[in-house]
Amino acid sequence: MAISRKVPELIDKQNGFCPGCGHGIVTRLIGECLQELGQENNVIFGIGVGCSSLLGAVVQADRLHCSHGRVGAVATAMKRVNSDNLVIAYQGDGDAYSIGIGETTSAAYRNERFTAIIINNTNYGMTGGQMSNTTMPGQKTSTSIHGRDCSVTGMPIRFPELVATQFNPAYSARGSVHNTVNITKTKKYIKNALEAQINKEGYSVVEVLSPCPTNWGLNPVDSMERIVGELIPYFPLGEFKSREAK
Amino acid sequence: MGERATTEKKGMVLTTPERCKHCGLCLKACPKDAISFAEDINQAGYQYTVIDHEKCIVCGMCYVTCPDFVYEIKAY
Amino acid sequence: MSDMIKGNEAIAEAAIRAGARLYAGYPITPSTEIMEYMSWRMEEVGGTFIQAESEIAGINMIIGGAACGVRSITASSGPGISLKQEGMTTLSDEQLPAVVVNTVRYGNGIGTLLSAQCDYHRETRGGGNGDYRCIVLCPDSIQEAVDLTVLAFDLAEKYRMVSVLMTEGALAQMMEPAVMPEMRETKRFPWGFDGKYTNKKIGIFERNSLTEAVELNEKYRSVKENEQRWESGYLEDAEYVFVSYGLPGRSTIGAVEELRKEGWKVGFIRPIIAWPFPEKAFMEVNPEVKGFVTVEANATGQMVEDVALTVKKILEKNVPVYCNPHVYGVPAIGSIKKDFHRLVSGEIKEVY
Repeated sequence: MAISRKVPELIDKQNGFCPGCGHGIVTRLIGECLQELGQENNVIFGIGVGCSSLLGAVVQADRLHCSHGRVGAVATAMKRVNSDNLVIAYQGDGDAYSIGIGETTSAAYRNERFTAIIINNTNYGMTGGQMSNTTMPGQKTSTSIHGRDCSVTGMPIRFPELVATQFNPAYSARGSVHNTVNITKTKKYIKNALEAQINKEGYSVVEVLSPCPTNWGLNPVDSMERIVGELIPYFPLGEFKSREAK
Repeated sequence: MGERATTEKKGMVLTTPERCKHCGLCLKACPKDAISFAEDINQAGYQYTVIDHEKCIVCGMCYVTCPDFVYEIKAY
Repeated sequence: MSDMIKGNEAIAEAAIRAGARLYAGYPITPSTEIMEYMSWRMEEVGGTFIQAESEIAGINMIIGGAACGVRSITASSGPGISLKQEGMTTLSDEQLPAVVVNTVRYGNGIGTLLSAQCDYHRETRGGGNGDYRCIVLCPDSIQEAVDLTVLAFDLAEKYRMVSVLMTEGALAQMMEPAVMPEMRETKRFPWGFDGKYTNKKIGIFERNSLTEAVELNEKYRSVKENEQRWESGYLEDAEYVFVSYGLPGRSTIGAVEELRKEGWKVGFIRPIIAWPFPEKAFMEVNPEVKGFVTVEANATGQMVEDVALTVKKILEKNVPVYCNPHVYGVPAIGSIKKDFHRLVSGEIKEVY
């Protein structure tokens, strides 16, 4: 009853993410989906700035490190001119929702046919834990040392929901990596998103709630607890726009 | 509780200890408490995980949860 | 006799003929017609037109297209090009070719809609971070704009740099006859992404800036050696040499012709490519030259610095360099001549 499982060659390198970071899990899920869909030799990555940049040191595929926040625009053009390749935009919540909110939203608005995978860890990780657009109310960060005051800074943004309800995407979902059940569900969401792209259905996005033990000041196991207790009540999991039944 | 029969192993879990960063997620995920930390450290300075192959049931949850590509599950 | 065509449309059509198959950009006066033309013409030739949501998105779309080996172009002016600076240093870093058209308009900040040459420093030095240069081409007629658009692509791809077609707003908007080149066969460049990871990449933490610096300097040395282009006249006996580019360059040549007929020993150098600066032109200048004067459409004098540096480098004498900043527009031949007389009489002092 045991199943053989080996990390796909596409990503089989030591990664530089922090201990207990969710990026590594998602990286593996992307590799597995590409392998299972037979697309490892047909993929181009647009990589954001931040912790997501570390993907560039792992994945052995065509890839471009984009200027901070601009992956939405770069991926738009790459998909338009290379429409038979899979184009994956890989960003964090800072790159996609703060500095990049214009490009990220515009690409979704235009229904550009690439897949955006956005790792949401409720802070700007790489630069040392500043407040981001998904920082929770009251969450302490290096730029909100008394806790985030949402009356001044806004409530955390829920992007997959925005895209699903206000635009016309092919697929929109949010997953989490806090336990094996949800890791497996998130893998399914990523696969759905990539299949939507393969079938040229339109824009697909999967946001993934990820722990950030380093900047949350929690150990990896407790970080996963925080996702369950604090994040999921605000950032619900599931598919907000499923693929159209064919 | 019953003694665990020495049935034929369904497979084996292999590790790449130099990649382990001591995050502990696999210890939590393992349903059989078959994972523990070595006394020894790897080159990066982390006490890496070791599998107790007697307890291990080759379920693969360690592979699923590990963020650092440490595990390989070999089914027989 | 070829048809009259508007500058912007000529540049756009020339780019199509040169094989450009991606345009992404944002409208801004006086470059907008390039984008409007591309919005229907690209589709006709099987290319891609994207109306970007912003100037920044536009240059990043160019980066995406260039990364896939597609000949890509965008156009803007003033503050729009300012927004693109990060994209341009990024293209330079990734060694991706692209053509950026700047139809220069006068002013700082949001500026004005007056034709000008106030972006010389920015285009020749680069407004983005780091040690990069772009090839800067400056047409003085619509025909030359057509020819330089094609050359811009060829040089960008030869050296894997960004080419900036730096023209004035007036040229973008005016009409002249121009002959278009033949349509070229399009192709994808070998460095382009194909999804198969054909071209391996160095990991971001494995780059060696020291070896890259050596390669960068060698690249620019080669460009400087091989790609200087200029037009010049009457240099052998010139006592004063005018240096001017673009439409003001055309006026300046007219002024030189008239001054020569009046007996003045004046010559001219018209840079056709501003970076690399045409240092070789200065080697042909009369060793007894008394002064150089730039005629520029900006307020503070920008190209005058390049002339002063070049004069120091090439000539053996310490020759004064004057500047005639006309602020904006295309200076009339009469006013160039009037200022020349003020210079000769000692009223206008040298800048260097």
